[in-house]
Amino acid sequence: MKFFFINLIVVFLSSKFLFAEQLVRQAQSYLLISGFDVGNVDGIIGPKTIKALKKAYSLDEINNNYKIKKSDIKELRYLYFKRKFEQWSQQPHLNKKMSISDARHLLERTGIGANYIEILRFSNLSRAEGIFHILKNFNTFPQYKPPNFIYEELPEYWIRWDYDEPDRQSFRVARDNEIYQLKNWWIKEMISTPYPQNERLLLFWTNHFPVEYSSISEESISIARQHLMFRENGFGNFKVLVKEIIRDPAMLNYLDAESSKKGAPNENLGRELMELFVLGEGNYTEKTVKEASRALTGYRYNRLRDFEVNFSRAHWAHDKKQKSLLGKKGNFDGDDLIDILFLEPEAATFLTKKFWKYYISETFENEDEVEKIAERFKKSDFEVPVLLSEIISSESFWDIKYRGTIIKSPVDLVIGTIRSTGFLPLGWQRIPGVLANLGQNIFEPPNVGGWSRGSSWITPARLLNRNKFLANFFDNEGTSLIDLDKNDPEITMSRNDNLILRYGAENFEGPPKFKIMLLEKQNNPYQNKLKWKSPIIYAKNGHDTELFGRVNGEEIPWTIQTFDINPNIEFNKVSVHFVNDHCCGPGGPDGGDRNFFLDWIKIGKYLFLAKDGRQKSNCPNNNNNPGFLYCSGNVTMDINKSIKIENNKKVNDVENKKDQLILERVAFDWGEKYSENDNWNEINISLLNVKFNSHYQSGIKLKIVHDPNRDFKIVLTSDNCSESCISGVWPKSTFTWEAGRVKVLEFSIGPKENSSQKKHFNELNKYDQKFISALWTAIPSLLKKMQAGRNFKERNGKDILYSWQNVIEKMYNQLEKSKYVQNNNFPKVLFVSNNKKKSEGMMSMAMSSINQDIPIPASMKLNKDLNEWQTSLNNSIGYINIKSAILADNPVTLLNNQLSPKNLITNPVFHLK
Amino acid sequence: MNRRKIIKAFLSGLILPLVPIKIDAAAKKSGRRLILIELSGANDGLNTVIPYSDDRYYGLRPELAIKKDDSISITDDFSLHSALKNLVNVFEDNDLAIIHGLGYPGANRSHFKSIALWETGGDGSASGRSGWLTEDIEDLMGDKHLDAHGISLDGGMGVFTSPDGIWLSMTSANQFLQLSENQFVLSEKTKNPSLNLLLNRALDLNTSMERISQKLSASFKYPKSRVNAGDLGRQLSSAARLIAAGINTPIFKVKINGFDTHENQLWRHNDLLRNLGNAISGFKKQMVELGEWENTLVFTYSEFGRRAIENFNSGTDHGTAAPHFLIGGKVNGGIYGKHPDLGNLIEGDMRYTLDYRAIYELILGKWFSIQDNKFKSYRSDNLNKKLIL
Repeated sequence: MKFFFINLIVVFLSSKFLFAEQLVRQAQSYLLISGFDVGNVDGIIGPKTIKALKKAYSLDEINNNYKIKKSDIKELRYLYFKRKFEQWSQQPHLNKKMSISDARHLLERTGIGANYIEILRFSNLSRAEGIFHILKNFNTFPQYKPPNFIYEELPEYWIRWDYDEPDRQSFRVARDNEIYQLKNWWIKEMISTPYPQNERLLLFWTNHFPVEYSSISEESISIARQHLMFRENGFGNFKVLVKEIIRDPAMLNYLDAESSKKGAPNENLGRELMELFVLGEGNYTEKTVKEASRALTGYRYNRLRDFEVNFSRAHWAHDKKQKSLLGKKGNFDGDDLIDILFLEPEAATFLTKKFWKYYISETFENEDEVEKIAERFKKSDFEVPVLLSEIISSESFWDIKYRGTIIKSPVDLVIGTIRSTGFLPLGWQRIPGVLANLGQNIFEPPNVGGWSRGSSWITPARLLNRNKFLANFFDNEGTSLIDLDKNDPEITMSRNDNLILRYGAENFEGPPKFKIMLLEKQNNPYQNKLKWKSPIIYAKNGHDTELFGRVNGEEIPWTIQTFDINPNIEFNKVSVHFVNDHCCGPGGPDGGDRNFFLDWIKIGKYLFLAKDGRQKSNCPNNNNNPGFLYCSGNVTMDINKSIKIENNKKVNDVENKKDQLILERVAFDWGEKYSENDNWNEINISLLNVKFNSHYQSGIKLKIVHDPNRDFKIVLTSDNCSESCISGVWPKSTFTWEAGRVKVLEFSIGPKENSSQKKHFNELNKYDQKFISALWTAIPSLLKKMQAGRNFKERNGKDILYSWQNVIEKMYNQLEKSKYVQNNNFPKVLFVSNNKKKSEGMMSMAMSSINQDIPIPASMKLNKDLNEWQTSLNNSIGYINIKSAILADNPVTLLNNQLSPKNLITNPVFHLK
Repeated sequence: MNRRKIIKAFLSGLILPLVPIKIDAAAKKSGRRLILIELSGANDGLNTVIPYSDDRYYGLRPELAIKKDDSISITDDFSLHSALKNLVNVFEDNDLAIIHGLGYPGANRSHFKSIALWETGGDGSASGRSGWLTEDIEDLMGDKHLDAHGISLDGGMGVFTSPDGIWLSMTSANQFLQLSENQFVLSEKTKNPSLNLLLNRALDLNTSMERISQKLSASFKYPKSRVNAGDLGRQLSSAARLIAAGINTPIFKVKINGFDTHENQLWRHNDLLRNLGNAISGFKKQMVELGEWENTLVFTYSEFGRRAIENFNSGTDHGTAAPHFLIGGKVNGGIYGKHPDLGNLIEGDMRYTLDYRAIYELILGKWFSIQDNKFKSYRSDNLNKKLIL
């Protein structure tokens, strides 16, 4: 089902740069370039701006208090395009009616592929009308709802390092699966959107600001949010986009800005900002990189608090001293830096050149034209829509000599061909893997430079794969979307009486075959009674190793299949057998391979994970990784190790006593070796899913602090609580750090408790007083429990705790006497173990595979095979025009008597656009 | 036997040449070549080349230290892990150079990022965009007598990232052979530079694959000895087979996985090193047999070393500096560079003593005689004078 929605995109980052002022600047820029006098573009609404607005809107009602809204920018942009359209209609190269070939060119260059129905529609317009049509209808909203994980409560990124290996592994698998969902969603979007122009622009930004998912330690949420940020700002202001990127968690992680701090700035972000994002190589000095990196210290994000980004002005994080940047001196931060960089002439020319190469030609450059366009781009204060409109209305864009000079990217080749033909091959879910094989693994650019495009798409290895893809495009076992629809009954995980399994296959001269058996253990452990046996099943949707080589782990083409079985069969073991390996051993004698992968199988309420099973395979050394059968063999899973699917208990649902502190995990975070000479010794511990009466928090990082001359205290800071640390209002006496950004409470057990600390406690409401008391009372058991986690082992917790040994004894004595313990009698802390983690990851994976709708290419007819496509072409645009609708018309002389569509898509010119 | 079958048979190691095809190129003796061995996952240098006379080593590795008696001493200060016993013979033949303390400024501890730096010749403050040797090798070698600029036998093309040149992966070669009927046959000249590029690429590729399969089918020569060392052994045997058939390519790339030994390092590392030692010594035997050992240089590399201090899971975590091997008939064996000071660690990590790009410079400048190479500013005069004869 298609899901239309408005405003689903949320602005995640409450941007610190003045957004209101930025809107005014944008409005002023559009007014200015539309020919209205606004005075200076300064972000302030003065009488001149108001007067210009009245004129532009032809409205007198606008008063001096008018607030510029986002909708104004859209309206002013439209008015600007309308004015431009009148100009374009006067220009000789734009006022002519489009030929079939012109229409194909415009669609293919601005979108993804060009469908004959769209071509036909556009060929009734003039070039100016075509451009205007694309710009005024530019739509950045997706057609389908983005994957759910983006909107759900975040998984425990902040404490995941404390998990032992099996749970870490499940965590990783679940995140990798989220990226897989995201890829599939975007690909579906690219196939089906009526606004491919936006997707093309998004592909540009993803490569202008590249981030590799595999390099940012499975933080899939950052990749997803970055993608939505590009949707939000990509067709907006370039300067705003750059300011967003220096506070983007994915980029901050990727370019190591996380560890960048005063005194030790990391230069990665500063360098790439200049080299790749704004100015281009050679247009800055190493000195500027150094100074810029100092300005960029202190931008960080908080995993505990929903990846919130903040600019830390704390003395240890941001370098506040004077920097000298391109002739200016001041205590600059990142936003100042970007404003200064945008004063350089290259800021406009660098991006203009890149657009020129992306939309017009990779191999030519027209310096004069680039200069002219860059000037207008700069005059608009770096509005991307202005740049795009200048590019596609330029003479070069329409010049015949630049046509067919861009080498199609894998996305152009794969998705463009689907859009152009209206033929969606079976197994479209595997497109991410196909794109990876062709060299464009979405969200995994090769390095910080992104994909270099052009000739790098046709390296020898890739050229082979491209040809193979095109030659076989229509041969997909003779099936198409329509058959897929019929054969895949809707299935849901809630059906109890069904057997459902998820498997993947690698085909070689045919698919793997397998069978399923339900068994009952007998007293003799070596004998199992067979209770049910499936027929031999041919694996569906296998990856063809002959065509595409072996798959990478994450790209295994998982398939879900169901069987009806009698729900009354009693069994306690299930076994899946792979029966037809391509003999013998890895690779086989002729280089071929056929493999079978089992992920899970669900029978009734029980979910059996292959990885928890036992594997017997005919390959040596193939039994350690159950579920991955590289040789014939079987995986047997025991009901005792299965996961029963029922409502999982959360900390929130656990029945507990009044005033009992409940939590899921306590982890060592970090600490310092104890020193008598230090008046601030601290140990930090992390608490996951904490509940006390009705007060719940998904995470708290707690400081235990000792000042040898004063007291022991626990310190709560607003930065280190996932929600608010306390349920009531913060006491008036609350301390603040970092210019008021961080709120701090101290609760002391003495011996010398000071008056502020007393106030902190006394000003709490009585529920929070209980909570703090319970927390203090629990400290001994928390410190004990945390030693079981991985952080404690790997972060030298043992040595640190050892150095505190004597002090901690003192602390416990002191605690016994304290008001927190004396006046209360709390029940023991309850640790709720949570076994649902594993199943959650697996279930989300299961659901995501099931809920994949079939993308319907927008505004085009679906064709079920090559013949139908050919007939549609003949009937719509006519036999004589087929060539112009499919191939770039430069050079035209290459192709005579090759009008069959099959020949056209395997022609070398089809690699170009 | 058609091309498809020949290459398929080659890939599975069962080449049975039938009718030899006459080509002059097959007879032409190939020039110098480099074999890159990637130790994927980050090899633990301290337990590979062991500083057995340094007491601090045993302090850092209470559980994992290899005892003096369990290793094979090669100098007064250093021994090799006993699993490398076949490599000790290579050392005694003076064909193995060990270079201590390789690393780079601004160490990155991510597998992905750091291997990308080694592949492109970057460091913590700037990463490269193309393979470290691609440009220089493409400039040096005219395409005339080459069958390819480089061949990867592990499928990995990272070190071969280049917009130009013929850099092949043998796994894709298999697929190529099914395509013959779809290859572009176009003689017409065009003014469209992109189309020209595409057609030239297709032509180069076709020619290159044609020559490789012809040479393979024409040659009866292949090494008699076998390399018994798992997957790495298989990859190196394939390289030897290609060399025996006279296939002229300056670079081969192979890989051995599994060095990320966070847990249970002792036995895992033992297995890995045994394969590595057997593979290298077996490959040497094959090259000597073919009379190619003097033309061959083998270089091992890895994304980083492992932390000097062991962890609590009987393993080691991601670290910084590590030693690596250069092996070949023209290598002047011995120990080069300075071992990192075990008394001067930063957060448990060793400080590197030599920028790894000095080795890249040595390989490009000395071995391939490209004086004016990308890494000339990293030149180490000592290595240049002594290491390669």
